[in-house]
Amino acid sequence: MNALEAGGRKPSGPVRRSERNTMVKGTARRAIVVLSVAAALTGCTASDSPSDAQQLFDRAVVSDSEARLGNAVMAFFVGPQNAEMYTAVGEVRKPGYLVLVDADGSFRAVKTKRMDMMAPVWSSHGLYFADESSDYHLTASGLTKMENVKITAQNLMFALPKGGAIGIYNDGHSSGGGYSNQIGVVAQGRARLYDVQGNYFTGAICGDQVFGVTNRPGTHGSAVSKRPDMTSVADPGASPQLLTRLYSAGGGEKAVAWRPHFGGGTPAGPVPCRNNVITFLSWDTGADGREQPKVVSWNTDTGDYRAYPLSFKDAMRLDPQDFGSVVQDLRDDELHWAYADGRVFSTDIATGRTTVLFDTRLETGAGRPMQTLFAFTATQLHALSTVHGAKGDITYTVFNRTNGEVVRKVSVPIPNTGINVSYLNLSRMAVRPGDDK
Amino acid sequence: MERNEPTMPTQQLSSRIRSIGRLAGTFTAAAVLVVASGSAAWSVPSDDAFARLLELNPGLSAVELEGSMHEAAAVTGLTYEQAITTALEEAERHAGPDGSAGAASSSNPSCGQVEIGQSRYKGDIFWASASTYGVPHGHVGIYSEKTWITEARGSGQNSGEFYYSGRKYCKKIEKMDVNTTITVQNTAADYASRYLIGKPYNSNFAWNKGGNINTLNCSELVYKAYKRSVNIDLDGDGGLGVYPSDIKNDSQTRTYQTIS
Repeated sequence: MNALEAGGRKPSGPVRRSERNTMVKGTARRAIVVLSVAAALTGCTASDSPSDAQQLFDRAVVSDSEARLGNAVMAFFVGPQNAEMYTAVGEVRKPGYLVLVDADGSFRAVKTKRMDMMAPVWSSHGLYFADESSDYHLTASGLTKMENVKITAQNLMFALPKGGAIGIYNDGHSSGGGYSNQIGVVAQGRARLYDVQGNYFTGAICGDQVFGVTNRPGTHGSAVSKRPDMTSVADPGASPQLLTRLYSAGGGEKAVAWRPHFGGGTPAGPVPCRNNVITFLSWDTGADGREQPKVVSWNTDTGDYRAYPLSFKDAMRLDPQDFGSVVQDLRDDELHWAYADGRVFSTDIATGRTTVLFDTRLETGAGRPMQTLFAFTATQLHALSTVHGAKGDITYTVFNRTNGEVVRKVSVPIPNTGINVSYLNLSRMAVRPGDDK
Repeated sequence: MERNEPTMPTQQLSSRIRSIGRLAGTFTAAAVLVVASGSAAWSVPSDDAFARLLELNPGLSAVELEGSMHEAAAVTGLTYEQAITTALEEAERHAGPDGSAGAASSSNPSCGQVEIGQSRYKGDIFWASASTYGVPHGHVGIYSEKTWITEARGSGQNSGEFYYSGRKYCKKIEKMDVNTTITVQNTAADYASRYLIGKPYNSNFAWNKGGNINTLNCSELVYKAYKRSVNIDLDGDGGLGVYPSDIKNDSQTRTYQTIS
């Protein structure tokens, strides 16, 4: 289309390449001079200085050479999210902080590069975490940092039983179609990276194998695109849910099985695995579009699954939005789960029958006045809470997992107003294993 | 032409020509009025005007801006000078506290961040306050599914989809749908997922409504998802650029939840 077609007005006339280059260079040069003067006059560069909140974390930083686990009982991460890294102003490289908290609430931090929603994991072999440049292994004797350049967003992380860790990173839409995640492997003091298809925010570790479930299967989706039993009548474009092996010591990626759930209602995060069966909650959407919260047990060897609707004694209704932040763990044949309103539920995995165990009164999720990170250990439920914009400090609370009794409650001297502000989003936590035994 | 990119329907193309024609006609009328009143509004923009427009499009180089203004002029029938004047006027208008491409601001460089949550429907749009280095530019995005958000990344990297749980943005956040059917919203969301992904970031808000989708910025992505797939124009105030607040303020978007 030319300008006459567009508006009937004569354009200003074509500019020959040589003329245009000269003009561009000339105006650009003048503009740069003007902008430089303007920047100097207005002090634009000063706005890049750390905020008060960032300075608080900076003061807590220990050098890499001095970093130790010490007496830390819990760790969490704060840092920028994706939208703060890639902005209209250009790419922003603000740091993140892996914060180590002692039982009395005192804390120190390891400064990292960027990693949206970093997910530290803690096993008897130490604390593992990662940023866009490196993988880290922190123990009682020190910090090991291994170069491993990757994308700036993490979905999941798991500690391997014999030492090492597997990280899952959100690489994005592939240029050749599909969607790729990066798998970061830290083992025997070395780090490496490889790609898999699909986008996995829910996963489990079964022995030395890591699995993911998703309804964003990438190119794996072509395998079921014409299967009637895996097609939604209500939304023909929706993908069923895929179970994929993402890592094993002796092999790599493998699409294991599909399930006719056609929505994104499966809570993000790690879910339990026992005897190679992963168990998790899912706000299932059937082929007819009907939605129902269920407990799902999926065999990673055979691909067989069982799903039971959640049932309650009373007429309690759950909110699908609140489901996304549920934290889950198995105890015997019961799935314990912490819900967004602060209650902890127990679901019989063979029937779906669900009861309330106790109420932490610590809320989390969208539309709520606070954010709480939950983590189960064998006998306890750990909670790190911040009240949006409120006076006072963030709080670390430990509950008896059976009866809800508060075992420990301490303030961590980080003001609520200094967290969940620009570049300092609270992402995930990890708890020292064996702390409750 | 992008790989597998569908061609623009004839009806849509005609509509686009008409709207650009109206735009150019408006500029012509305005120019006549300005000349008659003796004002020098259409005079050759000074280096200061170009520099100011560049300042209002942080991340964009002077060479890129100048090239895009020539392209905008060629497409719309404006002169190069008129394109700069028009784009600057539009950029200045969006440079307020709720602005989109804004100038340096003395506002608090830090903001409170809260979780955004799910949308009601696939294809819904969200707008959030956003400011970088004191520059209030705003942010807008699209739900590719009720539980998935599509976001751009830096040059050379693939755009990504993020599960809604844990996604935080600066207050205030507004979630909105488009005054159309669910089927139409689904079409726009699917178009965004299929064709407007894996693109490097475009720092140019002054002229981001052209046919090029080799690079995209946040409001451009949302705008083109609806414009190119279902011919819904979400640029509330017209002009050469579509800014995040243009989409929020468009009469066809309806805010159903505000998080503040």
